[in-house]
Amino acid sequence: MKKGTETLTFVFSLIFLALILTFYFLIFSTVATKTVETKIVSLNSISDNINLLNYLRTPTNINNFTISDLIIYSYYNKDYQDLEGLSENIFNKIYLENKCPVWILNAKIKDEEFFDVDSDFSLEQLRGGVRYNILQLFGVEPLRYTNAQISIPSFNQDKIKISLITGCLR
Amino acid sequence: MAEAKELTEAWIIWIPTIIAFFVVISLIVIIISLAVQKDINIEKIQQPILRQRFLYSENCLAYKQDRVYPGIIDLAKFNEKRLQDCFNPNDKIGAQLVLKTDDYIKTANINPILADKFNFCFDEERFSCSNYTYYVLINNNSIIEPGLLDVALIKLK
Repeated sequence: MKKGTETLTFVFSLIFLALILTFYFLIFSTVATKTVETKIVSLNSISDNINLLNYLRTPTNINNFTISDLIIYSYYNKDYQDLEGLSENIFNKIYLENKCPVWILNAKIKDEEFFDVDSDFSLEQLRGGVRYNILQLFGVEPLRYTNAQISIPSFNQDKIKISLITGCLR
Repeated sequence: MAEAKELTEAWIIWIPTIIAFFVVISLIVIIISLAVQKDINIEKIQQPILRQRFLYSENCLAYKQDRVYPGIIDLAKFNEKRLQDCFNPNDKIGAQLVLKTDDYIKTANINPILADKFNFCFDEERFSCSNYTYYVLINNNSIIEPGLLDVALIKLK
């Protein structure tokens, strides 16, 4: 009888060990996939960083300013009309080429947003499409979002944070 | 006789133990081999990394004066010979770069045998393709002008 109990204990402990290993493997494989996906998204945001950096360096016809100068100038003059027009022109051109219907640019100083401009696109325009419906069916967000951020100094050394969020089709 | 019966009983008791032992060992081997042999598709990350080389490396297109300016293109560097040397692809990868401004469009093909095959990108079993359009600034004899650089990559699987 005692021998039978020992055998049963041994068998169950082996099964328990197998269960723990299976559980560990499931957790490990899920976490590993997530890590790789995170790095891919980070790589995409490097491309957005280049776009944002070049946007800020772009020369304009207004007082020989670059766009980063124009952001500071517009902030102190509370007039964003030229900046808005230039930004829309540049980002619509880039992100239409990249099949990214959503882009949102905003500028903050001391965590207070003072300027924002975005694409005219709304998610409503995607809804109803075959691709959108298939992705929704599998629980996949139809757009993949990335974020790029650059800080520029203003006159009194307060940093202006410029953020660019883009939503590209999968 | 009694001794032989006892021995048989002992063996019968050990049979489930031995079966369970082999099942568990097989499970462990399968789990470990699954973990070790896990395929990670690096193509998704390989192409963005290769693409960025064009904009970050002074040997490719990045403008340099005292320091390298990633994202600013030196127009004088936009030629196929230079791009072929800097990209240094193997036989399985090709690229097509298209630089567009309001005034001109320039194209460079790297590894032309593959770069001519973008029309076959629909065949996802044989080719892996991607493209991205960057907003770039172009240094054209010290004059800075904005433009778009489209970098398309094709890889034979």
